[in-house]
Amino acid sequence: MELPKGKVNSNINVTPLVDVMLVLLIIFMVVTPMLQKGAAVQLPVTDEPVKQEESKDQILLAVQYAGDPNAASAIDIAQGSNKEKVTAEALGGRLAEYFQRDPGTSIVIKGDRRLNYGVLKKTMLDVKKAGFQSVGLITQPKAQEQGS
Amino acid sequence: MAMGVGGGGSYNADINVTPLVDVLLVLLIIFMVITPITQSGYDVQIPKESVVSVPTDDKQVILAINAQNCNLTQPLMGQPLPAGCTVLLNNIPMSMTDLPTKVNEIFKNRSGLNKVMFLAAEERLNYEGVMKIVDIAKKGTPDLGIGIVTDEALARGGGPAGAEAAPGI
Repeated sequence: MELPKGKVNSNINVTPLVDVMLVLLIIFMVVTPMLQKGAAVQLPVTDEPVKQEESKDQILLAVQYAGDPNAASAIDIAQGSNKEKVTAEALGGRLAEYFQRDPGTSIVIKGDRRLNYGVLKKTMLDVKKAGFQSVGLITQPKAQEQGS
Repeated sequence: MAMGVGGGGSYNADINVTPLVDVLLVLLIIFMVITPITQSGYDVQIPKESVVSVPTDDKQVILAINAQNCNLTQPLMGQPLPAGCTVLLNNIPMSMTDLPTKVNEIFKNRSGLNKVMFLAAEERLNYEGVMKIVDIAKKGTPDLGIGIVTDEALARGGGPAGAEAAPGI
């Protein structure tokens, strides 16, 4: 900084600060919706879940809650960029079709934490009836409770 | 940061890279923070009937969770488990502090298909509470497999202690 003759500028230059903050803001605006894969549900929080392998063609079931803890309001099936919404009753039939297409696909379930265990058990049984042999139950590590 | 030009006729022809570096560093930090947020959870085995009927040498272990011993009928919403919560491990009541050591004791010498704990939870219990208990049970034994049991009676402690109850799946 060169000081012009006799004049001292005592203002802090906030322009770069504002620049950086705006960039931060934009990045978070873009990234936040992408953090959770599949439809948004409130995941259960547990202490130390194990990292689950993510594969491109995995089927992600999001079991949704809408006021009744004893019934899933809808179940979103997402595989890659394909997404569809089915009722709990129709899930079994749809999964059977997925199984026929590719029996080796892995399945993960994201269940809303306000639901009862019975709803999730029923979903797992539907998965089993379709032919799949194991599922992953997605939870949220405690450290990330505030995020997503 | 603003270069005072015209102080005495000297011109600065260098590009000012400081803001560029600022922004790139911020980007770098953000991606460092976001990358570890990957999916995490628990594997549950739901074997077909034929797989379960394979004879196992060891006794099956059933973790029973019911509302009588652990009141999980209301959504937890991230709160810890209710105080004094107990579960039945092969029909033996077990507190949350004893559970991981006991599970580890049973399973440390087992492997493969024998290293599976069957989960029998009442259907009206909150999902998050059940998952928290599974998490606690697995603490000492990270490679423990989880299986599910369809028979509700087992969740209330229906069978005799240590019985070779066939998982209903």
